[in-house]
Amino acid sequence: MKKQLISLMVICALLISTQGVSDDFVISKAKLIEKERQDLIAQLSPAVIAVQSMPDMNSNNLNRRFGGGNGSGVIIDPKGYALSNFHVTEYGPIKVGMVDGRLHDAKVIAYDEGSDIVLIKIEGDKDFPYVDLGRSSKVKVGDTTLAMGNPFNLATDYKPTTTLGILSGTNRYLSGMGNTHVLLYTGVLQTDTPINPGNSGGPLFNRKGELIGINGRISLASRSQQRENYKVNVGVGYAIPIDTVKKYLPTMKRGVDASHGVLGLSLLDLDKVTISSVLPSSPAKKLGLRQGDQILEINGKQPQDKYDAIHMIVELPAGTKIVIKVKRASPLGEGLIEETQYTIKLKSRPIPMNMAKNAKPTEIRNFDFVTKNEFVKTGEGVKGELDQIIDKFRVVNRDPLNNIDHEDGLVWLMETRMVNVATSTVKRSVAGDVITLFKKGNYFLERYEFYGKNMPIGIKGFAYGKGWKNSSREINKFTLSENEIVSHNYERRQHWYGAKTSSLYSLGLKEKKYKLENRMCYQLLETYDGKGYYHYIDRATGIEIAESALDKEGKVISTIIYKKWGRVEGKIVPLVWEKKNDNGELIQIFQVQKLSYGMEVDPLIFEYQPGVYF
Amino acid sequence: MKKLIYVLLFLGWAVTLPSTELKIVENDLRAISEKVTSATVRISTLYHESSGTLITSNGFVLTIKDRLTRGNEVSVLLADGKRHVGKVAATWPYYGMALVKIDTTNAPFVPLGDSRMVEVGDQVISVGNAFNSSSGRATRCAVNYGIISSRTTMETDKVFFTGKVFTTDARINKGQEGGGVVDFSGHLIAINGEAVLSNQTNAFVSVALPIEGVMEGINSHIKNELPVVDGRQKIVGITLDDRSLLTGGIKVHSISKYASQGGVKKGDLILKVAGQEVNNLFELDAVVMSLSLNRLVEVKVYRKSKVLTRYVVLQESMPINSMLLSEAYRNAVDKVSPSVVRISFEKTSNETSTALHDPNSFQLGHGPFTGVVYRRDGYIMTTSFIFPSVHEKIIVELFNGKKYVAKKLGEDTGRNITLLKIEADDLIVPKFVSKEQVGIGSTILSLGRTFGENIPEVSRGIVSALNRSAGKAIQIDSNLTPGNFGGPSIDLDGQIIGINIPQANIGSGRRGGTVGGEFSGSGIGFVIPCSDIDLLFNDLKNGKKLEPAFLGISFDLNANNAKITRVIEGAWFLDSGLEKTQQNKFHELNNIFMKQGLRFTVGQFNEFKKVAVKKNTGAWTAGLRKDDVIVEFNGQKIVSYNMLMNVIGRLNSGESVTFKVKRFGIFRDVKAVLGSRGLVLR
Repeated sequence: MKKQLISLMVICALLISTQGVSDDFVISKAKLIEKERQDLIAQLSPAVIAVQSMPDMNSNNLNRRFGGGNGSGVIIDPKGYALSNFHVTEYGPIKVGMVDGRLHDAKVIAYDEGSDIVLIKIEGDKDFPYVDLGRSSKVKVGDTTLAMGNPFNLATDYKPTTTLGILSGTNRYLSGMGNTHVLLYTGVLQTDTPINPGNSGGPLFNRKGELIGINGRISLASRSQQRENYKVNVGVGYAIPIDTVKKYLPTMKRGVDASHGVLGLSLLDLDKVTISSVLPSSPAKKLGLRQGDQILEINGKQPQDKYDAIHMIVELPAGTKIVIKVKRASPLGEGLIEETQYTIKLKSRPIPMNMAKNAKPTEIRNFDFVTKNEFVKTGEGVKGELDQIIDKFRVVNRDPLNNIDHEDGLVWLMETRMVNVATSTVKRSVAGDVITLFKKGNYFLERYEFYGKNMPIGIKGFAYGKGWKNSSREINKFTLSENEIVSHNYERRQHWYGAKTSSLYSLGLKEKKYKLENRMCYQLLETYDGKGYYHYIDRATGIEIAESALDKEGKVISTIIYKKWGRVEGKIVPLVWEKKNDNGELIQIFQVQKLSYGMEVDPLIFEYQPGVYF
Repeated sequence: MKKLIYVLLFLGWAVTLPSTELKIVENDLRAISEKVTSATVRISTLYHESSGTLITSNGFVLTIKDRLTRGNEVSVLLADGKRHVGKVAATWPYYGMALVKIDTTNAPFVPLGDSRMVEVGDQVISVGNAFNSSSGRATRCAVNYGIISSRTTMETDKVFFTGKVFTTDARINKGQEGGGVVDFSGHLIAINGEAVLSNQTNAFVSVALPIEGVMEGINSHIKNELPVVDGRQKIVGITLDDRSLLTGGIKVHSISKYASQGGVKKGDLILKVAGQEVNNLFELDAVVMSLSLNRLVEVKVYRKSKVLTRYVVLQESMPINSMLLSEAYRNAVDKVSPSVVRISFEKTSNETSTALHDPNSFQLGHGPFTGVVYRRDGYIMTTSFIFPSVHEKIIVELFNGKKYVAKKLGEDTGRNITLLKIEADDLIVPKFVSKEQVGIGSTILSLGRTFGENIPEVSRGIVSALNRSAGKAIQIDSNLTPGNFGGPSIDLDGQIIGINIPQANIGSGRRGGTVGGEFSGSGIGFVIPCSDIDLLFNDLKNGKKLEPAFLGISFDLNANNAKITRVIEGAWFLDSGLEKTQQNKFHELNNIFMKQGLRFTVGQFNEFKKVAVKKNTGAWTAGLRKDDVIVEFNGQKIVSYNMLMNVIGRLNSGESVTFKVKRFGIFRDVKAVLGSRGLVLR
């Protein structure tokens, strides 16, 4: 009390000399805060790096060959060890940009794909500036957070971009993407500090300058009315808590990839955490766990909900033995019985082929047909209606700044069209039917796809022709054999109407033999809306494998080659498209990825763009 | 320890001396966040999902109306993970809110505040379940932090409210609707609306609905259920004259909004409070501590030889630090406000310039937008981004409502700024600060004048980086949108650091030349420093159109030196002596080029040759060739491509520059004239 009175007197004396409670006093608090913040940033900046992942032309791996991305990282050790996101460095050799404005070589020491973390080491012997690891268990909602990194590759001098916000929430859960659930985030921090594509792998600091998280994903939304596809940060970003990283850091420092555990369960949130399905050949399956069983405890702790349970399991390394308390559901469906305790060993999560550092390069086949079982399942009960939507897909162009047309479902490039149109009808045919393909009306293109019991047999008929109204011409005639046809997919597009249609071409449709990417195909020319296109139909399978856009003189401008096929909305469509220019150089790759329903979350990668002109 | 409430400012400062400033602010935020998130709920029905806030301990919840109607049954998930069935007790369609009741006792809740007392600059937190990120039953809803940007009527198509609303730079997203907006005294003053699209600017604005309109309605429902007071600090709302400490007697130096409502004025001498004589702070403190919140207190004051009776409502105090911070923001804004102007457009003809309607670019609303007084005699600076068409009359409105027709003078297309002139010679010029004084981490306030309120819209952030966009811009993280493009970003002293722009043209690659609002609202914003604009001012004043420099060289981005990998021989330029119709033809052809991608040959478009001329690039003419390494530029040593880019990036076309170049081990000096970017063909 006495101390306070004295300081009070001192302050009063000082203030009396001014005009009482002056503006300067009001501002002084804010300025003190500002100065502290500036000093902190200056101290931390040298340890923040820009991480660039280079395309590796020699790799057989698709992602490595044509990928490349920009992200951020932070140095945590004076020897030059640094953290970043796994998804930033998965593409290939890496370089890091530091505040000296230069690019330095770096190499990956180990991956932790499950946490989306990578440990790298920057080449060099000198003492690197580094930051201290904090404790994410100590941070509370409302705490000041600073993010530093290189969003949108704006730092041409590699000096980090700093943004300010607070910790918005803890223990967040984001479902993974794709079949292998990559980028599954459990128990992560949420912050409103602006982080954008390119901030991936960068640090999240608390007010003391301790590293409390690694920024990894954000919820995106469009904030510009016209450019609906241009999505940016809207105040919801996620960071991997440093405590999670610390668990695997010792292993990773020894050069061993971290492997997270799985039980092989899919869970439901009911009154208790309940099993909804069990994966075959998983530890859970081996134990005999079933749909309906309730998980009461994991290692003595009761999971609050399914997200908590998943987090508890995924956090642990593969090979860990855990004790779970389960209340079994009776197979007769008469209510639950017995509470049992099991000891179960976690298996390691399947790592996607292109991601493991030591994975052997895999040959990418051009066509991956769906299995018979899958096809038959969706072919059931369909009469003139679309197959039920299995998954929603969206094409992710690796350059988020490019403007491409997005739709929930299929994506249409602005410059070319995909041959499969979203709406189509599936009709049933039976063995013995004679199918005659006609052309009626004007210039048009018709495709007939046929699916066999064993696999799609592709396009049997490709009708085309040129003519005026009311003419018709028989194009193709064939008989369906017994085991051949289950259903066929018919679509018809009409291009021109009458003589008034303007066109820069008067070329007719021609069918030429052509060799594309070592596959024998037919090259069909089509003109549509005044533009010309080549369709390349693979002779072996009858499936269209590429399409070229032509210029006025009929020369090829660019070609899109379809690779890697799968099902979307019941139709067989290509999932990876490579766009090549007239010199055959690859200029763009489009890849269809599965969206998590209900949330739009994207990894924070910004595409590396070569050839910047100045 | 006795608290001297009326020396809040002094004692608070003394007490906080040992700790760091950031820690103090943080403690306030932690405490409020903890309290508010425990009272935030998630409401769902078949067709309605929102967040909501418990406002009484017996289960009244305030949320957004959306599709709820009175009598609906809703499912309410509390922060402790328990689910309740609630009923919609009342809805207020005009205010966009609804009141839900669940059956519970002792629930954590947030007391209601008076939204009329909220001012621009006040710090708030916005709580809710954005993007369903609080998916688990046990995870609490998320907290976003920001300030009140303005209080205004919004022009938007999405109408779920009427009257004035708050706009805030705390982000409000899908799922957060209906959650609480709480000030730093811990009171609920608004509920989250959503991010609505402003018809004026086509920018998204986070809107919060003030609760004052529904207060009476809510009170009639909750009746006797008054919030429980737990001994928090109470204040009358006056700060005292420092001399009072030493001489005795309580003289009011300044009033907070609470006391002013009651009629107490600066300079008053306080005689009695609640019937008791008070001669000094301790006595005043004792009296106030014995009173209850939200009650009218009789205060007798001595003013101009008269004794007057006034009535003040006791309010809870806000933490000192947040009060000071917000006050500091307001002071800074007040200093600059008279120099922030409003720019609007009137169509003079029906013709629109087709050349500028690139479907890839950001489509602006019709305005109004913002500008800054740059010189006393009528010069206004703003961003080129807001001028969508050539045939519009430009109207500049000053802070006092006076309107002028403006003339466009020069512009810097690389920096995206335009200078306007109005016929006035007594404008209030703001203070400018040079960019050398700006450091990373400095506090920034970005201002706009789209809404026609007295106080400009304010958004708070920090300086994120220097020398961005090829050295042309400072990067900040406040909420930059068309709502404040063209306006100023200022520091805590109320000095202007620079003009807000969408993005400076970095003049490179595929995206060279396009500046849209891509970064709008993302926490990535750019400011052109005034100290740079000063260097260009004369050129702009003379109506020049400055283009960013283009040399025509490309570099290996991964090399640690400035080694040229390619020199472009020539470029095609629109012949400036062309007729208007020919210019249109040029732009039409340009659009076709864009659609085809970058590759095309001149031979394809013979018409093109008629409207354009080929000029060799500055680099080619100067003799620069592939594999040359640039070691010096205008006398400055160059060690990397990035460094060179930041230096050249700041220059405009037409300037003469010198290089020192190393080729095959031999150094030579090269002179070049910087060209400008036209269409580059290969």
